[in-house]
Amino acid sequence: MTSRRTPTALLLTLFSSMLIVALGCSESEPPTTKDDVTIDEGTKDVIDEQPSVDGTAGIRGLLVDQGTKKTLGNTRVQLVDSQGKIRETLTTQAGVFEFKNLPSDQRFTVVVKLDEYEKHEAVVNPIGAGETEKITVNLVAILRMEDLPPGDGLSVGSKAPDFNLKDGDGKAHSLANYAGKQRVVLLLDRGAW
Amino acid sequence: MQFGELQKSYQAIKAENAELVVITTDEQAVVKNTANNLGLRFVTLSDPGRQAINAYNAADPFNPRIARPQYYIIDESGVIQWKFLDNRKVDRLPAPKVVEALKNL
Repeated sequence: MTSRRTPTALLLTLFSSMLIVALGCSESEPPTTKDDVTIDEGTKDVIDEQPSVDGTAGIRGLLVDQGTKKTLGNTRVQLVDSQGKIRETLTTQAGVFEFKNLPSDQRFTVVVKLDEYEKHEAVVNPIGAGETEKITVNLVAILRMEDLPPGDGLSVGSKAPDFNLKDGDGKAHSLANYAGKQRVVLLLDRGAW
Repeated sequence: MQFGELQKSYQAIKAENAELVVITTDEQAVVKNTANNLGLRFVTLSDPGRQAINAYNAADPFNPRIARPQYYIIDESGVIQWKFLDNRKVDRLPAPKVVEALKNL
């Protein structure tokens, strides 16, 4: 048996195969070519050496762990402008990052998302042409119970978890009852088991 | 017993603008009995479901049904300012030490 294709069917087949090729191409494109994202080359040991263009602004910053005061190297820092355009860079081993050749007189938001730290967002007010704003970004480590061995409790400085439990008479008590009024000496104990 | 010792220091703890709260995994009826038998005036709470014991990472690894004894001083804003963990090899923390810690903070 032979199947005869009409010219229209042939054209459709040709078109759909072209579409598949076109789709295949777009899938293989790296995500960095998205219009809204510009990836600056990560600077591992030296700050971006490209010269600043006259009339542009810059932001130079230091990324620090607020608790230990240690700098955080090789960490991604994002800069979002007022149009939502994202620029990215990596901090140096010494925790320094820099964005050059930024439009002046525009508000920016510095965003750092790093595992085990609270997400950080800080607004940088418009910077004048030819100026570089110097900032320090302090990241707050998330205190995790898993950091301490089982049974070793929680660390000094951490937020005390609230509880809602009954006393011997069935009256409910929670830690929040004492907030803003009194300190609490809390003893977790074996009891009479 | 430990709780009786704590009762002796309770007024001194109150004088430091602090409330004393003790949580165990004992059932409510047991908590009531203990409080009555020892004449305890401070807050004793029943946590058989280990709500607080687990939230404070306090379940004894050798017997998770009960808490490994540990003290905390929590300030008015709900932050832990002092901690004492029973290390099993020494006697329990004498109650006056808690009062001392309150005074020193």
